[in-house]
Parts: sequence; structure tokens; C-alpha cells
Amino acid sequence: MKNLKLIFLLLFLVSYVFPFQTEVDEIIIPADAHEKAIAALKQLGPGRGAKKINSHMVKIDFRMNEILGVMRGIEAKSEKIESALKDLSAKETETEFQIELSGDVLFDFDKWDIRTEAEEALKNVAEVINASKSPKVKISGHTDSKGAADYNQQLSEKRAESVKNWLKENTEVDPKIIETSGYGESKPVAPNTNPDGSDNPEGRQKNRRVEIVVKKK
Amino acid sequence: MFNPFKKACFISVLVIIFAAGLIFALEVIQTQESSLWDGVEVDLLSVKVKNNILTVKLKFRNEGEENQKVSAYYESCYIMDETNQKKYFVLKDSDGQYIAGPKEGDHKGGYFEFKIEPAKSKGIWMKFPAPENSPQTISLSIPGVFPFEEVEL
Repeated sequence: MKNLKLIFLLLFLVSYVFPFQTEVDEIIIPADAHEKAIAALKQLGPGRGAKKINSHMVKIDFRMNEILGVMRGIEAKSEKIESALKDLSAKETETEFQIELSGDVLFDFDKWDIRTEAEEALKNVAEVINASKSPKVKISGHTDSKGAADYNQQLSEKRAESVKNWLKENTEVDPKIIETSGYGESKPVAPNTNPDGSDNPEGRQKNRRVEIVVKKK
Repeated sequence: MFNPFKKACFISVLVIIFAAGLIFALEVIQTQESSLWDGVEVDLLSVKVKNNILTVKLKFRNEGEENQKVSAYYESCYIMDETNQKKYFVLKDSDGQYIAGPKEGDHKGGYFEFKIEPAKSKGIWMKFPAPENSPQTISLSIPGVFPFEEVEL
């Protein structure tokens, strides 16, 4: 009986202490950080890198830092969009960002599940959507002309929906702002066949795509 | 089942665990509100000086009802010794990266950025040079957060 009491007491104390322990555990300083800091301090020399301040300017200095922080936050956001847009080879107009992703990168043949290789590109898409605080995103699926038109229509719709679902499940993008549609083979960006009627694999490859329009306002 | 010695040891361990919990719980030195992120409060958890290196730990808590995305460059964080009228910045390693964490990216020596859900928290740490002439107090400035003033060393 006494042992039972002790066990209960232990459980109570552990459950009481544990939350505090996890909070502190969140901040993990790498083992080599202090050594690096000592080396860095030596490099700074006797002044320790100090910058002289005017005591009357302290409050202004703090306020400046707040404002500077906000400005730099905006700057960082802008740089993130720039970097993501560059990686996606996206186009930017006054009102929107236009992103075109190859169907062959996003999906396997005749499938609509997102390939692992496409995840990096989709993370960049999410970055553009979030950083630009876009109120509306349009995702449209397109196929080449191989196969039945009805089947291609369905495949394109499923693929657009699949991109939306991936963004919903793997990023912070709000799915409510995303609109999806499928156009099948109806809107080619390149000829599916050559002038002599032969197959044009390059043209068909360009047509297998997902277009994402990220509205700015 | 327990002899008196074992029982005493067992109770001692419990008391130590309990005391350790209380120490962790009481570790907040000062709390400031964010001037930028709604509902975010920042706890200064520790300020320790060792080998002339001053290490600070902070915790960003979201006390609001919406997710908040918090970010700032480490280059904009500094401590101020008002007595000797000097300010000190986060130390940089040989690669030009600030000795601080966590880091979302390396741009401009590194920055932190994280989403904090309501009732959740995230921590950061930074290493500064300890101010010369051993001032009794310092101030700590983090972008987007009201300054921590009169922090005792």
C-alpha cells in the first residue's frame, strides 16, 4: 500500500515537472557554439566589437531597431519570393505571378499522385503564395492529346486537385483561397503533332503541365 | 519492500525532481510584449556569462488566438551597456554566421523565422561578447520586441 502511494506520488511529480522540462529543452545550443564564440571574441580584439553610443540616443536606438526589424522582415520576405520565383522560372505581372510546372515532373505517366521529386518546386509555390499574402490562387491541369479527350479532361482535373491537396497537407497555404480546374487537351501551348502529321513528343511534353496563377490582390 | 534507507533515497530523488521543476518554472527573468506580432510575448529565460561570452536564451510565446509568424535577422539583435555607453552585437563565426539559433537561413549571417501556434512557444539563443568593465545591468534589443531593460548580470 505504501509502495503504491509512493508510485502515485512519483507519477504526480513527474507529470508536474515534465511540462517545464520540455519548454526548456526547446532551446538547444550546439556543443561547439561556446568554443566558436570564444574564437570569435578573440578575433574582435580588446574592444570586443563594441560600438559607442550616445546615452541620450538609447530610446531612439531601440525604436530604430524595431522599425529596422520590420523593414528587414519585409526585405527578407521579398528576397524569399524572388528566390522562389527564380527557381520556378515564373513570370510576374502587375497583378499576378504565373507559374508553369511540367506534368512530367509532378506526376508519373497516367497518374495524379505527386512525385517526391516535385515537392521542392511545390514548396517554392507555397513560399510565393504565403509570402505574397495572395488572396486567390488558380490551379489548372492540362494534358497532351494522346488518349481519349474525356479521359484527359478527368486526368487534368484530378491533377489540379492533387496539387491543391498537396499544398493543403504539406504547407501553410490556406486551401480556401485555391480554385482548381482541368482543361484536358483543350488548351495546348505547343503542337501535339508535326506539320506532316507525325507525333511531336516535345510539343506533347510541353502540353502536359499544371499552371498556377497566384493573384497579388 | 523498501528498507528505510532505500525509502529515504527514493524520497530524496523525488524532492530533487520537484525542486528542479520549480527552478525551471521560475526561470523567466523578464517578459516583454512584441510590438509587431499580435499576442506574442517574449520571456528572457537566462543571461549567463562564461569566458567573457554572454549567452541569452529567449522564448517567444503566442498568447493570442491566431498563428503568428515571427522572424528577425540576428544582425539586428544587440545588447547595450548603458553605463559605459556601448552596444555589442551577436558574435560571428569564421564563416560570417552569427553564433545563434535556430536559423531558418544563412542570409546576412542568419535569421530566425518560425510559426507559433496559439498557446505554443519557440525558443532562441544568442552569444554576445560580455560587456567590458563588468556593468551590473544590460539592455537587450530584439527587432519587433520591446527592449529588455535593466537586466542584471
